[in-house]
Amino acid sequence: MNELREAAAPAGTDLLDERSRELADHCAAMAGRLRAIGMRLDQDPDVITEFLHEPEVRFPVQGMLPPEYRSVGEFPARLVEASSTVLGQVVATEQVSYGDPNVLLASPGPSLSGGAVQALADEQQRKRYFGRLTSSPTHTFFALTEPGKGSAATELETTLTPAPGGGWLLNGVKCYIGNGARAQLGVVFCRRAPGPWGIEAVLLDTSAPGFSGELLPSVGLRGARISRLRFQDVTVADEDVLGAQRSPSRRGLYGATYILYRFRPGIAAMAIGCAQAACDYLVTHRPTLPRRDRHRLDSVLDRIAAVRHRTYAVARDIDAGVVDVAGIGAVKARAARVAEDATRLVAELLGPACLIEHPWVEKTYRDVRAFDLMEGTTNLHAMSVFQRLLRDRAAPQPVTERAVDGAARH
Amino acid sequence: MKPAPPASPQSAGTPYPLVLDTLHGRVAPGRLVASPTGHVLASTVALPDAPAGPLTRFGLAVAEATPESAFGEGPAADRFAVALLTAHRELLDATLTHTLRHLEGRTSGSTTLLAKQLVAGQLADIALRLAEDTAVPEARRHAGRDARWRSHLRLVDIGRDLLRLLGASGFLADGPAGDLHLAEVVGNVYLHADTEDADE
Ligand SMILES: Cc1cc2nc3c(=O)[nH]c(=O)nc-3n(C[C@H](O)[C@H](O)[C@H](O)COP(=O)(O)OP(=O)(O)OC[C@H]3O[C@@H](n4cnc5c(N)ncnc54)[C@H](O)[C@@H]3O)c2cc1C
Repeated sequence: MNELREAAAPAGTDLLDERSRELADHCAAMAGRLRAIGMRLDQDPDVITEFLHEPEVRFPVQGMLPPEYRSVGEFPARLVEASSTVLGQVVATEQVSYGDPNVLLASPGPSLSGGAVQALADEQQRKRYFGRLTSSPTHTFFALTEPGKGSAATELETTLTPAPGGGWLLNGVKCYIGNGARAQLGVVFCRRAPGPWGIEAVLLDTSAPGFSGELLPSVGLRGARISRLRFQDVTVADEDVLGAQRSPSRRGLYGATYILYRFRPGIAAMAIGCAQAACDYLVTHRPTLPRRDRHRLDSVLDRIAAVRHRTYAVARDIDAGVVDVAGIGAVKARAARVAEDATRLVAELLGPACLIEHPWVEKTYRDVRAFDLMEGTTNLHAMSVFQRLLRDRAAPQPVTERAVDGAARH
Repeated sequence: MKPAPPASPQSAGTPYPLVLDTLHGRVAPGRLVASPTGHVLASTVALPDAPAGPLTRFGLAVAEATPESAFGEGPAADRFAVALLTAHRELLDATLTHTLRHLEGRTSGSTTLLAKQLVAGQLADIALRLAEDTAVPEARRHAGRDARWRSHLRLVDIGRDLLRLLGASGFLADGPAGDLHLAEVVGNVYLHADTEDADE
């Protein structure tokens, strides 16, 4: 259903090869259905269970699974493969979010926690986690943020203490955790010892006694089903501590950082998809804008094209093993801002009462505000950009590159 | 610096839909004021029979104007528009106080978030812009629909910047974010200066 969009390839896509373009087209064709489901999710995010069999819901998750856990024969293998790179995820996520970002967020599947498992888990842990995900629709969560500690994630206070008789006890509260209260499985970051290297990541089955979760009422992006989670003396077995065989500097916190860098361009892609969708919606509903208004819209479209191009570039670099932390944060922050600006402009130019008469616009206007918060606020990314600026301008040197495995690379 | 106890996500004041009801009552006693587009927005308490919609969970109901509604143009509508802007400004003022308390209750490293220079600068900027909007002379601020719409847009800008400083607590429907979203929607309905032909 392509009637939602302009016919030409969106500006800023020049970095895509033929296969990525094919992937983009495949996902773009899903937009109409995703938009209809997204509207339902805004009323009741739990209705996602009615749509789990639909290809539009199932396809986007496939590329996030390791090859041996993907559905065989259901989707063109080359497209699933194409969607498994960071650039592929970005391309697919942008198009899917053009339809609606809530569906992807509300869907069962690996979420960020799957990335943590891929990065940290031993073979047994991987088998248990992904085996469970493929045996039945399983929602997962990635629990880092706490009521008292958001941006200052390294200061988290949820504790992991030795249990009398072996194993561990988990105690604490997590907040704003996507799908937390609806999930069957998740990864929880917790403190075993003081300092950044004292943070562990543990795999948690939510049926464990002492676990409880409640949904939080969010303004928008309700498909994310952000939740508050409580852990009261939850027993954690030794085999549920992710990557226990690794050195402390290579597990818990390291895992979180590594994954957030890889997933962050995906949040930018969601924002870009929504921003473009809002602008196209305006053009569809007000095809002839006065010149000054057209100029304002074009200015937003310029910014969307620029941030799309930069997002694809950082994603491509990550795939090549180069993680430009400031660059990744910058595209996420700028994409979030342009999405907010785009929806505000559209609400203004569509005219009086459009936030009542165009429910999709009102929903998108609420949804996009989440992107500024997800995976780090703009202030934090701005500071990282500033550090980079200082380094580059004060003593120009090649962009510091880090191999994806975290080791510095110059 | 010892952090203050965290502020609750709930905004301390009256929920926005009830503020809106009070404004209707003040401007057109016993009636509800219609927008120029023929809509009436009030609390779900004041409009219990309005169809459920996306704003119902925020406590806001949307209905078509009826013959009993106060007319959407004229002095009553003007007074209502002025009152809406004042309510929005008061809501922002209360949210600013809430944000200061919220950030004082959160720490990063050895300081509260309030003590971070970047945050302090952003808060000061917000306070200045709010004061500036309040200081626009009445005659200019309420010169007409365009002037009121400009004021509304300034207030929306300020609100968005404030909510960003609340982190994810600024995305919860039962706190200032919910009320400010409603103020934005109500402005879009009652205050929008239709730009249709303005630039032709
Ligand atoms: C839809 C949604 C989904 C989410 N999903 C998840 C999830 O699945 N898992 C998870 O763990 N978390 C999740 N989060 C939480 C998100 O990661 C946090 O909201 C984010 O990290 C910010 O933390 P906070 O909300 O506590 O804000 P705070 O850290 O309290 O920040 C408040 C304000 O202070 C600023 N600030 C903070 N520190 C500094 C500093 N040092 N200098 C300058 N300014 C500063 C911030 O920029 C912000 O403006 C989600 C949030 C949303 C909205």
